[in-house]
Amino acid sequence: MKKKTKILLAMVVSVSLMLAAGFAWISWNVVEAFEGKKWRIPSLVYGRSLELYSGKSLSGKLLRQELQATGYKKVRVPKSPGEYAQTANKFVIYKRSFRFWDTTDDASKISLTLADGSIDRLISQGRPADLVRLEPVLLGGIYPHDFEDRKLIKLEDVPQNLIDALLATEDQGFYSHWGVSPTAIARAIYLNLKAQRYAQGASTITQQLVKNFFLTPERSLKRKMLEASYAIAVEAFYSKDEILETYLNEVYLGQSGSRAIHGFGLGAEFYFGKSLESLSLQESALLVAIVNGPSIFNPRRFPTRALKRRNLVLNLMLDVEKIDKESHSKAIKTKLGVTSTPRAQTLKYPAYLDLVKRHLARDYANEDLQQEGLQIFTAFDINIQRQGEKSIIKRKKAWGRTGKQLEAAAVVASLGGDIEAVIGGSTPGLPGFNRALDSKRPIGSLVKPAIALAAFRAGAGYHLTSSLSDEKITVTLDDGKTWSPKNYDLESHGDVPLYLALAHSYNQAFVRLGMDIGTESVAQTLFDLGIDDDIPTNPAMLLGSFGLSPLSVLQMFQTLASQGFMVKPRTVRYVTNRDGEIQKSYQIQLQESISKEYLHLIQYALQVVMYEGTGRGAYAYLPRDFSAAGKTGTSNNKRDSWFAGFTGDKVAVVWMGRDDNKPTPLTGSSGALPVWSEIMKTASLEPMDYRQLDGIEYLWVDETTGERSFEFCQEVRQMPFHPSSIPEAVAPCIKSTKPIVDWFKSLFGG
Amino acid sequence: MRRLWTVGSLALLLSGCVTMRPPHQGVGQERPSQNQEIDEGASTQESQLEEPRKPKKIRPVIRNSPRQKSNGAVNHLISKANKAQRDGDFATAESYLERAYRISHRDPRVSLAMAEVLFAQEKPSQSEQWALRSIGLLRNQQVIMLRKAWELVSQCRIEMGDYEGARTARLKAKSY
Repeated sequence: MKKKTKILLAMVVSVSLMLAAGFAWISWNVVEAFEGKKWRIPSLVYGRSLELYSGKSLSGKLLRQELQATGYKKVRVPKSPGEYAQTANKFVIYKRSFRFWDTTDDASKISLTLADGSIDRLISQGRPADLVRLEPVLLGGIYPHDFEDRKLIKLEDVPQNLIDALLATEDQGFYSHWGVSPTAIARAIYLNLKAQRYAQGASTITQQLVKNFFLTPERSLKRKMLEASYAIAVEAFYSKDEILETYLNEVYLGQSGSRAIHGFGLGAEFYFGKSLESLSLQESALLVAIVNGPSIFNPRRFPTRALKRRNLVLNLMLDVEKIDKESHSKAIKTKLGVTSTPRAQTLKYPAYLDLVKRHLARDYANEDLQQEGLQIFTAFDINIQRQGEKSIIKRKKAWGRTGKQLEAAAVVASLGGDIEAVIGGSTPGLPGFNRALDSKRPIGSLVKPAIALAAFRAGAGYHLTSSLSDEKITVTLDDGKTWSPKNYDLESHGDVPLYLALAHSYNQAFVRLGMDIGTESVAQTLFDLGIDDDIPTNPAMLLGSFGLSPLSVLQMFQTLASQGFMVKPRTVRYVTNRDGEIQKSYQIQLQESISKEYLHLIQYALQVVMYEGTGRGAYAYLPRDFSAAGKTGTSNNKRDSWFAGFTGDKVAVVWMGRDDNKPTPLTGSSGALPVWSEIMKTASLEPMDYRQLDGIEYLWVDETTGERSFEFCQEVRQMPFHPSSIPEAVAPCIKSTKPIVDWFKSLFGG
Repeated sequence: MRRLWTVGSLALLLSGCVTMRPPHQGVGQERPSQNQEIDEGASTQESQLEEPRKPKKIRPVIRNSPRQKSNGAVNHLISKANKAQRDGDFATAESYLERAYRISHRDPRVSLAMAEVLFAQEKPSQSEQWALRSIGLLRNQQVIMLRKAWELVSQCRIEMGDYEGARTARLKAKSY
């Protein structure tokens, strides 16, 4: 072999090897990126699903709000999923199909009639039904840092119209080229030279895809060469259908705040509020029109421009005979049909999402939540959340200039243990410091139920009507100094039954009680109620000088409301993977903690707080026969205003105060209580159901002294007592002859 | 005659005492409004803002009647859970009961059924707690369920090696 030929051969081999190595490198990159990046999907966080059944307490207003929040459209006659109609107290709802953690509920038509504030009749698919659940509200997503969002779709679920429109517009030779289209390139070169500027591109769908995946938007020959190489590599490794499906999921279609809308699945929901499968010809054409420039062809901002581009897509479809003239002329006359506001929003309820993330943190890395496409089913209740936010804004307004400096936090949960709403500050939707979880403020008199409970548990003979002295008390502290707490009204009230001292929140009586049983036993009771924080055991703790977050206070009152079992409040119920399989379930965890008999006594006393004590302002908002239990809390100099309490189905805590810890004009009664009451007015459907308990004695006692009495005596009431501790002294039956004299007078017309 | 006058007067006095109170509806009937106590946070501003009307004084109601029967939805879910449990699909059974619990967390049947499902999934610790919870929600008259629940508590304790506790629970079960 001649030397020249040898050199030539060596060069050819070298170049071939280099090309092969380059192609291998590109191929490796393609495979890795294609397999990895194409499936990066944020997790979606859903609220609770509304369960509908006969007898369920529900108002028309609440149901309407729920339907609106889940994106239902009100129509005269529901004809497709996502629509509902209301005639007086009758609702007809065309439910969408939804994949829950356990089953997929198919789309179905249901009707229900409301009567006396509850569901009277429930019909599903024409037959009476025991139970139907609506799909949950989408609370938000947990997005990657670039805020890319998408809803994955499969090629077989994409309407043919959409594929036809896309290929007719973006890449007519898609199924025949091998990643690049020489004819398209030649045509583009000719047109660009003729126009002496960049007038037309020649990118195939595969090139567009690799550009998005691997390259920058820069327009240079080098980038174009790389794009072509990558496109060929992609075509070598993946089928046309796989490439098309990836493109349909990847393509950028718009922006919603910081959230980037990717893929036709999410695009259909974002622009039309419907699923991809149900898109019409003209809607498919519009989505394809947007691909060319989501910003310049934004149909909400530039409807005329978008309409023109949509019609161009329809014309192209007609040109390549993907639609007939009749369909074309019909579609071209239609309006854009986009919804006025995008359905899905982000970060509207950051405080709740924050708690969800914290609950999930022990099982999931943040990256997993951002990329794994999980579905997170929570207990979030949008109606309660909104009511809470509304009430706080209203209270702030009512306080005028003072109100502007006020901050607030609230947590609402079901008595079963599900956290349904979290408000982290007084400005709804504002992410940042989550006061509901992270702000630890002195709880003031909220500690008193724990002192009373500790007294019952101490075995020292205390019961609800034990006489406590509310005279001045002086406590000598460890450092030799003395401490003399005062009542709010600066008065002493003599001997008072325990339950009334609690109702009126008498500090002197409760410090005396706490010192008698010991602060350690109060701290232990707080721990048994579910408080994890370190509790000091100095005398000032008896007036709630230590700080707790609203979430911790909720835990405490959750146990106070229970039948003796502590439940760790939860937000997340189920997590499913992108295939809809349960990946993690978070069941209610019970722990027997405090005797239900003692809790029964406290629950009685906390109702008295509401009827006769510092919580009575609640009945300016709640119906008078709606039993509830709760306690106010006010810290020194009114820096913190608290109210915590429960009804038959909900427990809620509200805090108000200033971030700079300066005094406010608010007490627990005047600040947090009205907010709590307004929340409960919406959230709670069941009054407290206080029933006789086996093992408890119900005795008639004198209201004022707490001594034993009889049913027929004056100023008496029946109260619960633990058999180990009951009042012994007997009160006189007739305390005043005035009623008798009045009665005689009335007989003789006096 | 004098004795009759005395008896008559006493009767009148007593009837006076009784009729001074409003009609009796159990313990928590409403009473005539009394002087409202000073709220710990009462202020002029507050009363202007919050108390457009003063509520009358009322008392906590202690009901003695049994709880209302659970609704059809709960029955439906319990029956589906039972079926799933029979089929060995404990996760689905648990999911149905979780929904039932959300609808009626005070229904002792839900707690007991949950305890059984958890026991079948070899989670004796939580099963025991749910069984005890159901016991707390049952009335003394509901002996069959009480017996069942205590027996389950006993089994859970055996699983956890607490033989003394199991014996106590067994005796409790037998007492019904």
